[in-house]
Amino acid sequence: MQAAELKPCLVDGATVLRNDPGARTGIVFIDGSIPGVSPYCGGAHVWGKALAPFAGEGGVAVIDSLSALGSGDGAACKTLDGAKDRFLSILRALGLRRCHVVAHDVAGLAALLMACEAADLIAGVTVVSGGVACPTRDEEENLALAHPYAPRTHRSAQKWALERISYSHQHIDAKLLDACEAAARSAAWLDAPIQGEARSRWQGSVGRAKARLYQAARTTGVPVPVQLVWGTHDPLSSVEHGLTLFRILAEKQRAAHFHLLNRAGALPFREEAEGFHQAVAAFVDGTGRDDGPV
Amino acid sequence: MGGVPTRYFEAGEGDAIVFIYGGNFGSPDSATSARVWDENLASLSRRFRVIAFDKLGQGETGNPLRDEDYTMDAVVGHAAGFIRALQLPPVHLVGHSRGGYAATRLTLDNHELVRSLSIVNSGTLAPGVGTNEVVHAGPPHPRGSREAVRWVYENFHFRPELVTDQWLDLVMATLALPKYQESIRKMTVEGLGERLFLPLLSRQKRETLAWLEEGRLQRPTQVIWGFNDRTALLDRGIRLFQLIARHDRSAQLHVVNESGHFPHREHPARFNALIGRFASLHAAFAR
Repeated sequence: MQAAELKPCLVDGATVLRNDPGARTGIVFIDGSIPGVSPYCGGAHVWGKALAPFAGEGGVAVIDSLSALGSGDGAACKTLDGAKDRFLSILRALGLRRCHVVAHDVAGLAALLMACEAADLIAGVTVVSGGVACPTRDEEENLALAHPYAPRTHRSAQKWALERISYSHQHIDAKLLDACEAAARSAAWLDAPIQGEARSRWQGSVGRAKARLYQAARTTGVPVPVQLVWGTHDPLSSVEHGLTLFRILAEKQRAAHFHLLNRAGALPFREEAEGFHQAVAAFVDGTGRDDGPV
Repeated sequence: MGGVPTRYFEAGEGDAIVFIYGGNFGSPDSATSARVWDENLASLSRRFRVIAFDKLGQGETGNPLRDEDYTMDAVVGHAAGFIRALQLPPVHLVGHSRGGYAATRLTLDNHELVRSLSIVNSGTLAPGVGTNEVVHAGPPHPRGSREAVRWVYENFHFRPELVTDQWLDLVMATLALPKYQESIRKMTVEGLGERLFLPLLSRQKRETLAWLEEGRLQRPTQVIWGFNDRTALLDRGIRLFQLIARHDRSAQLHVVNESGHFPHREHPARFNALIGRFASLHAAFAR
């Protein structure tokens, strides 16, 4: 039986939660909160109770985006590539031989690009609610978070945003809000440029990263098995968006899966933790060995 | 089973998973049997009690005893009777294609027999326009020949090379059984297919979909769909999922790339992982 308790360690200058620091394989979780960009102040705490069943089954490492992107000179927060490079640097420093990456939101796009660069290390990628990676050009505006309260980092403003991107408010408890409020007081968020040129630079970098991903998907393909996990009621990215991304990735990657969790929004691992565990664990089980013909 | 000799395969211990395959008796160019689950049983039997049986009139199970039982209704009744006869606790049902319809209808009629339900590429059950008859129209080989059978199964698959000689041997052996030839004669020459089987299935499908719409399924359900199935397009799988998900919080849809109509044959490791994890999740739910 694997040690279930996740304890903080310092890896490459960032906080990583691990249950077995000596493990050579395992699942690495990366939340997709970008200081100054995300509608709530995320970090490793957003996974909530979703991590426990994984930690009871095998090696688990949780890269805390708040710590990972907030440490250093802040360059990691400025562009998608900056965040991607930082995540990959920490991933390599974990000492794993092979791992499966489960990445949420913005980190999903980063993880797909990481897999293109580090297929030696990354055995598979699960992208959770990865609307950022979907084609969205020339679409009508998404109004889910059009008129947030100010300041966005205030507890009540974060609660508003979390409710807006969820199917149900039930998972938004005091523990989550306390953690989000604490994250808002971190240097990463206090220093984060939110408006103007900095935001345009971030958006531009996402567009260029998406173009690289689509080019790779069309030509060589993402070189490792990929699963997309989507909530049926994600206000930020529709099921149609998820399926479109699936079709793009499936063109050249044989082991591509699309998994839809019912009655969940943009945080399906919080709203449907059991189903999320089943989907990810089955994917890791099923792609962990040769899946040849009958 | 009710006087009909019924063949089944069983292995392993633990929560029971019962598999129901597709097709129907009397098809001249295809004859799926319980052996279609070989790869799945071998793997899942390490953790579960797995059972695959030949449906009424298919494989080596006997034919319906009366002409009026050449129906899907009788197939469902036979399957439910089989589960009862084995005195199984509520089972995890896995139904593929026509077997997906049978498994769903069995659940709707006999909730006490079922713990969870997995529906796999079931155009028979899913709403929307079926394309099976289009894809398989006019085999370019003599009916019932090995070449025609190969052509039919190849059209079901994303990777036609999976239609091996070993698989064709199994199908041809079933087709050659006198009782199977009798069912072909009943369904085609005597017209029971057009006169009885299809009209009744059509009527009961309408009823079954209405029951799903009303929320009568009431068992945890996952829909698994091969992305490249030309005979049952993904859009129909999504519509089926949406129908079920309206009433089932835990409903899931899983789409498998580079798979035609038989994801359990084309990607057995991943399919088995999905079934095993789903059964484990809902074993705890039901206890």
